[in-house]
Amino acid sequence: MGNYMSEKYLNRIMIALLIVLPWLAHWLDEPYYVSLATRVAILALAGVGLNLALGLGGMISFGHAAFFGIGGYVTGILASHALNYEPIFSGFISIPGTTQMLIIWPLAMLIAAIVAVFIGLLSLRTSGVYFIMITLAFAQMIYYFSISWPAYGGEDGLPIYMRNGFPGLNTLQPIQFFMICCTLLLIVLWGVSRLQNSRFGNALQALRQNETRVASIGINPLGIKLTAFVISATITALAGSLFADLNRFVSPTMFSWHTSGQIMIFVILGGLGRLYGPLAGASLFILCEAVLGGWTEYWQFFLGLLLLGVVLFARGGLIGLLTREQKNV
Amino acid sequence: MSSPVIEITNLSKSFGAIQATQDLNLTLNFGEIHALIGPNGAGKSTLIKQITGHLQPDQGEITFLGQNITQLLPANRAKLGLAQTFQVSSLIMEYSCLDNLLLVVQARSGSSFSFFTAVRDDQILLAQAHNYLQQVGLSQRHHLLASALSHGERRQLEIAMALALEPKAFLLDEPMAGMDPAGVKHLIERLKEMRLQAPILLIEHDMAAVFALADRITVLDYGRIIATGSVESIRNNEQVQTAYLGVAP
Ligand SMILES: Nc1ncnc2c1ncn2[C@@H]1O[C@H](COP(=O)(O)OP(=O)(O)OP(=O)(O)O)[C@@H](O)[C@H]1O
Ligand SMILES: [Mg+2]
Repeated sequence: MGNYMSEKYLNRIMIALLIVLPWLAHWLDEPYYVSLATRVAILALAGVGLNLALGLGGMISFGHAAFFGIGGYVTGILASHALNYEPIFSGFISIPGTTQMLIIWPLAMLIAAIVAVFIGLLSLRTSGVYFIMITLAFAQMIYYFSISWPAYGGEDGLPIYMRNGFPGLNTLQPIQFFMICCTLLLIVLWGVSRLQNSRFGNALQALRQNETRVASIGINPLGIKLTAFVISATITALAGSLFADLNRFVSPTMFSWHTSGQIMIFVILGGLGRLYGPLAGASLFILCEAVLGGWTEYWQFFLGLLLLGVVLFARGGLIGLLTREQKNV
Repeated sequence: MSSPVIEITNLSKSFGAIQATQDLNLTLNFGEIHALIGPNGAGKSTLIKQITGHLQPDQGEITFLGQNITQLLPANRAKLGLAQTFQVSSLIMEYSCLDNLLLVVQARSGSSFSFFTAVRDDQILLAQAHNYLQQVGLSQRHHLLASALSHGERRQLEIAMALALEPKAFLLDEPMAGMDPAGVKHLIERLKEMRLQAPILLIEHDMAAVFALADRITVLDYGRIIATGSVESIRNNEQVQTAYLGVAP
């Protein structure tokens, strides 16, 4: 495991900045910057989810937009039903909508988990380019389905008129909503750091390197990979739910392959398999968008250059570059 | 006579036009070292892969300790007690020696579905992992990444990982390949001890080692058994001499 100290140090600095800067903006009465930081926290969370599958497990999922979008749509659909008092389902029992985040989150994660089991079972027997294509295909199927489903806005998307609620907080206030997102990010980061070093994480990271060897000592690769894929999906779905509440709007773009690509960019920019990589990556992405985006509409070109630089010259991503450490677990 | 540990009946496997295993019958008995020899491409590794489940045979049956395992996944066969070493070292390259063994010990000692407790804090697992490293003389190198080991050390680590499974049978695919003479000598002694724990199916090109270790020898050529028997009978078999021993150094 070696000298992890300075990476730990960098992680703490990033967390400190993530918390302090929005408060500063809040005091300076600059809500725009608070919402920018909220986006960073949410997108980082989506990346932490993907990083579990991609960075630790080596599963190159190009379909995580499916889970991001599911989180968003579950949130939007539940909220819209709660606001127009139409039950989502009425038969022998009637299921109403809700505007409670504490109910929405677990539901969003549960539904993403069910879809992930399905996608995982069909895709995880393959690897490499086939796995990429199958995950992409599933996400695109859901994307086109969402476009052609008029009940929830179809192509136009679905507005969320009031940000969903959290007991004891005023979620409409940017800094309070930011603190919700930031806290969830920290909890998930803590959970994943435990997972990384657990028996499960040990097997998962070994699998990425040598599946045949892991099978030959009595660990079934499919079980481990499927579980990781599902956990990964639920985390990304949670981020999707928050994203919907941040924008108070969900649309099919959440499902599009651009979204999958973006989440992947956060992970790779920050450093594949680094716990805080997605936070670094999402921060850099949003920073580029805010700074370069104000200057040229072709800012993604520069982002592309940056990504190229990272892939060619800094395999450990931003975190690897800043700590100059080889990651060996 | 007790029933064999591994019993292979009428096994066949082809890759396109190549018949890598042809209607093959073979047993591995308690307490023995059964050597499998034959020229390059004879189908030795292919046979091991079918026993471990990494390749599925076209026909035939494999039983292990009385259980038909032909349809089982590799992981489940390993759990039943089949340990293998690979012809080309197959390790977790970015893990240290110790972590490679820790993974094996973890796999043997229970479920890998534990998400919150740090595996490297488990003193019992660590002690076991160290113990197996020591058995192959890699204690001093425990912190080194597998990718930083020399070829010979990688072979030793493979042996340690097989030992750590505490298996009911060893399947060793050319464990001595590429080792220096001192390493070979050491490994021969090691294998003599290992056979007391579990029988060994040993693929090996080093004929001196085979003659020193084997109780029985089976000679494979073009996926077929051309001879099987005691060391003496194989040494004197004419067909074997022309097919194989004649070209061996
Ligand atoms: N996955 C595969 N696909 C196609 N052909 C294969 C495959 N694996 C093995 N073969 C072929 O099957 C035959 C047997 O190969 P195998 O590796 O079992 O030989 P071997 O006896 O282990 O040889 P060596 O002593 O060189 O290790 C060879 O002709 C080989 O080319
Ligand atoms: Mg071979």
